[in-house]
Amino acid sequence: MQVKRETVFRSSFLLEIVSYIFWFVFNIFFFGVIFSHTRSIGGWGPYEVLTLVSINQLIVALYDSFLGPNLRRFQTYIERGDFDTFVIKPIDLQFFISTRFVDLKPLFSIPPGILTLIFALSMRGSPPGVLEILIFFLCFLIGLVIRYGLGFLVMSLSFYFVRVSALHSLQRELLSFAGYPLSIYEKFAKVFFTFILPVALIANLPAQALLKYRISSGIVLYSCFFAAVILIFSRKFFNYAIRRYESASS
Amino acid sequence: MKRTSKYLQVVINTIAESTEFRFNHILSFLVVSLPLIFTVLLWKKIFGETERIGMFDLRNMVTYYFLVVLLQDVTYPGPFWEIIDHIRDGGLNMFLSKPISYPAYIFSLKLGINIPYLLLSAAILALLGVMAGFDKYLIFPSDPINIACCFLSFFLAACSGFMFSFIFSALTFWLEEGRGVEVFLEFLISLSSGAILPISLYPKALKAFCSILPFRYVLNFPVEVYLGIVKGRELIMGLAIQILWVLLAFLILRFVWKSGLKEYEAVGA
Repeated sequence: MQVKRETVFRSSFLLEIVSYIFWFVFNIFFFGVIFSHTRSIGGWGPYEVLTLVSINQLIVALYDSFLGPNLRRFQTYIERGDFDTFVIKPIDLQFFISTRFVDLKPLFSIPPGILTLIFALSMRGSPPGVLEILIFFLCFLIGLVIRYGLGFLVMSLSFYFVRVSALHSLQRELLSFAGYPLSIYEKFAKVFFTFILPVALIANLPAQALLKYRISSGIVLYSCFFAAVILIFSRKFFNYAIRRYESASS
Repeated sequence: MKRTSKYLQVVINTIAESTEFRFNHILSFLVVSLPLIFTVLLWKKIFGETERIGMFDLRNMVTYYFLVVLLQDVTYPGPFWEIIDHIRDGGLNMFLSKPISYPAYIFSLKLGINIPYLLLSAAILALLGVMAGFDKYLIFPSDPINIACCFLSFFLAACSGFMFSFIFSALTFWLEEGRGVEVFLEFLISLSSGAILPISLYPKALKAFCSILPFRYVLNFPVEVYLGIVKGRELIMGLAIQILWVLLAFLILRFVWKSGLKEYEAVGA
C-alpha cells in the first residue's frame, strides 16, 4: 500500500530521492570545503568527520522514513479532529500515531550512507572490533530514541498551540545539527548540548564507538538514562496534553 | 489612490493578523536562530585552527551567517504555499472574480508577513548575539556608499526573490504533484544561494554554475556587498545583473501567470 501510494507520481518520487541523496552529498561537500582549508576541526580529521556525517545520515534517514512523516501530521490530526476516531481504536495511541505512515524516499540514502561509512573507516585504518560495533549499535539505537523522544515531546505541544506551524520545523532543525563534531562545543554549550538537550550525543556517540575513541561508560549510561527518561516523560506529557483536545466537529 | 489603498489594506491586515500569532513568530525564529548557534560554534572551532578561509575571517563568517538567517526567509525564492493552495483548492476563483490583481495581492501579503518577521527577527538576533557573546564578531558597515549599495542590493534581492517564488508556485497550474519539484528546488536554492556556505568558497566549476542561476543574487551577493567582499567593478556588475534578473523574472512571471490562467480556466470549464 505504502509503495503504491508513494510511487503514484513516479517523476516526483524520483526527484525527491535524488534531492535526498544530493543533500547527503552536499553535507560531505560542506566539510570537504572546510578540510581544504584546515587539517582538523578540534581534533577531528576528514575521515572522522566523514564517519560522523554518514552515521548522522543513517539516523536522519531512518527517522525521516518511519517517525518524521507521522510526527509531521500531528497538528493536522488535531485541526481535523482525527483523534476522535484514533482514541477508540484498540491499539496504543502513541504507537498508532507514531507508526501510521512510512516515507520510502529517505531510505534510498541509506546505501550511500553505509558505503561512505565503510569508505571513511577503511581510509582511516584501524577498523573497529566486535565490541566497538556492539557499542555502536547500542549508541545508534539510543540516538534514534532520543531523537524520537524529543520530537514527540515538541509535537505534543500541538495540543496547546494548534496553529503553530513552526513546531515541526523546530524539532527538525534542532536535531539536524547532530552531525557536527562534539569538539565544537565548549564550556556551557558542551554541558547544555551533552546533558540537558543532548543533541551532541545522537550521532557523536556511535561515531566515537566506531572510531575507537575512548568513551566513558558514564556517558553511555547517561545517554541510556536520558533516552529512557525522555521516552517516559514525552509519553506522560502526551497523555496529559491530550486532555486539552477538543474535537473539531464539536 | 484607491487602487493603492486596497493593497495597503492587505499589508496592514496581514501585519495585524500575524502579530496575533506572536508565539508562532517567536517559535519560527527559534527555528532559525538555533542552527545559528551550532553554525557559529562550528566556525569558531574551525577558525581556531586557521586564520582565514578564502576571503573570510571569523568576524566575516559570523556576520555572513547572521545576515543569511535574517534575510533568507524574506528573499527566499522557493514556492509560496498560499499560491499553491489557492490554485489547488480553487480559492483563486475568489480573486479572479474581483477587481484585484492577484500577483499584487500576494506581494502585499508577503510584505505584511515579512515586515513584522524582519523586525522581530532583528530584535531576537540582537538579543541572541549579546546573550551568546557573538556580538563581538559582528561587522557593521560605516561607508555610506557601501550602506546605500547594501540597501539597493537587498531591495533587488527581495523583488527577484518574490517574483521567482511566484513563478515556481504558479507551476502548480501544470504539475499534478509538485512535491518532488519543491524538494529539488529547495536543495538547488540552498546550494546556489549560499545559504549554507559562502559561494566564494566553492570549487571553480560549482561557483561558475551558481553564477548562472539567479539564486546567488537573492542571498549570497547582497550579504557579500554588506561585508565589503564585493567591491568596485564587481559590485557594479553584480548590481546590474540583479536588475537584469528582476526584469527577466518580471517578464517570466507575466508569461507564466497568463499561460497558467488559461490552463486553470480550461480545467474549470
